[in-house]
Amino acid sequence: MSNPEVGTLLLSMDTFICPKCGNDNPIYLGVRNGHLYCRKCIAFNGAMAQGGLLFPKKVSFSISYSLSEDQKDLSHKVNENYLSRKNTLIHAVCGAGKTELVFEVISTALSKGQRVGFAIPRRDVVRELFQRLKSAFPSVSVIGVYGGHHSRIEADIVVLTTHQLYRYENYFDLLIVDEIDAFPFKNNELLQTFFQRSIKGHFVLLSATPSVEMQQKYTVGNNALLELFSRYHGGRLPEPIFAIRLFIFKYLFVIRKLRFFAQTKKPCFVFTPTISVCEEVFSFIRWFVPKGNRVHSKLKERPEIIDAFKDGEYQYLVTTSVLERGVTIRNLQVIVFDSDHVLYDQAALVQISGRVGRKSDAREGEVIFVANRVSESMEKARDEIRFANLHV
Amino acid sequence: MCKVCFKEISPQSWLHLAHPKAKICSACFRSFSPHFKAIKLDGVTGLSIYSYDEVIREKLYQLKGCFDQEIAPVFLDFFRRELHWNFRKFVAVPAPSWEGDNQLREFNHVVEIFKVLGLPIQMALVKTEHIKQADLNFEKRQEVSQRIELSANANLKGKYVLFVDDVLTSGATAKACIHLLQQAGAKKIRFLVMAKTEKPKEKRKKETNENINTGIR
Repeated sequence: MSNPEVGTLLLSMDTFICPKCGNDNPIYLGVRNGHLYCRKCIAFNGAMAQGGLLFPKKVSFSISYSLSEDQKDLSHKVNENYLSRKNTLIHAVCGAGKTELVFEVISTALSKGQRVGFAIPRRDVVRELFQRLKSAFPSVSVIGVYGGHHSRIEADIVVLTTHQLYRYENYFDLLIVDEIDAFPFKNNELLQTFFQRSIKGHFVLLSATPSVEMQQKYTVGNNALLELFSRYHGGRLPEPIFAIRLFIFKYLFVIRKLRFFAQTKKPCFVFTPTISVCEEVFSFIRWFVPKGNRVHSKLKERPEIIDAFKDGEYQYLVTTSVLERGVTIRNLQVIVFDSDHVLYDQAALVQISGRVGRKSDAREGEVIFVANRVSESMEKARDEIRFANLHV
Repeated sequence: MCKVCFKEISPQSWLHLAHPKAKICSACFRSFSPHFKAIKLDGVTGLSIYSYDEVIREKLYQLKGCFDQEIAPVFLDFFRRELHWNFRKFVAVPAPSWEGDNQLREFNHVVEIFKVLGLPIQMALVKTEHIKQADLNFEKRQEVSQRIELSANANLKGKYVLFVDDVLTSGATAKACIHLLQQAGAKKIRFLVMAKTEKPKEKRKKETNENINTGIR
């Protein structure tokens, strides 16, 4: 095709769906002023039939930074996959900007007047993502649906927890599920059933650490696997440092590190495997390091504490795995306490390491695994990060 | 592909042997029932092609009201050769339409209809007020000349000018435009309308008989 505009027009002719009558047959399409319109339902489009849309509305989105070349490529590929009616699994490292990768496909779906869902297993992440999508898509209605917050459940973009998918049956034309490898969605047949049931069209799955079975599944049939190994700012993933300490020395090490971070004004997360360990660690180190707090799922005022931490009120937070995913804080440092615990599998450790160095003006950061011994999953996590760094 | 009924055009039909590029099937074309009429307005001769019946009204509404640009060429598809030959020396000047309407539609419907004739088109006339002739009664329609102006870049001196419009009802707009074109110094003026209203109301008929002389060719 010599004229590129004609080429794109013909391409979009194959993928045009009328938002009013659902017609996607190109013989009914007309061209006016360089854009397509449906001629099948033309009698319902005049001045006498007001209230309907004349065109698929052009939904634009804004991202606060410019996408890297890799991201742009992948973003286009996701969009093409969706247009050719394929499901996609995106395997991208932590901090690759996974959320931004799907903005293009979201705007495509919205432009066709379709319903978009964005499901995540974690409630805190829903709240954060809701704000991000709201600022990125100012022209459409975005709502967050999660436990205790479901008075409105219909909008252009629904951001919801995977549990809330039960409210929607055969509903979403485009359903994006982030962090598919995270608890509680992982290995939960009930939630997987809700997920399958709520899809009307196609889905895009996002993960930093998909399981091997998942990756195999997406190389065959109507599915596509897309991989992105570089972070959006081109920096490396921070490699974890192993600190093997026993008994009280573990605590002393954490206290020393936290004091060092406090001096250099770096915020820090201390990840602990369980709620009881979290309370225990915090109750001990609070006497030695000031300006801190703890966060876990049993704490009612969790959102306020996280907001206060983002405002710089606290130097450090002792947390369970609630903050393991989807949290972006500038210049964050991470200590994983008892990283040899059985609850920490490879995926969780990679995710936690991925909290560090996510902003382009603060790419470096420390990830320290404090443990009694070097466990298998710790080694595997380090190997995976090294492998991903080879591609940078 | 027929632009009206979306069916495949059979290439064997006689109409399409004569007009292989036509975008309308012969069945739809027959429903249009062309009805040529010579009209004289203020001493200027013109031609109307269809009578403004239900089919034309519907298709014209689809074009003007529903913004269906693709249907515009079907009206004159089968007459394009003859009309082009008849008016080969002429510059087409479309009837003025309100700029806001054109922006809403994203095209000028008169231009779209008469584009198929392949004549040079000059937008010499502009409408200064947004009032539809169709909403007015006969007396008010005659005031149309106050709302129409020659555009600043009109260049018609010594030219053969063909005034084109979609529908001719009372002839008020056409007369006002022809008057303006005469002022602009056109050497020869003809007009071509796509459809003419067939049966004017009784009251209007009395008054129009003095001004419009209709003869069937």
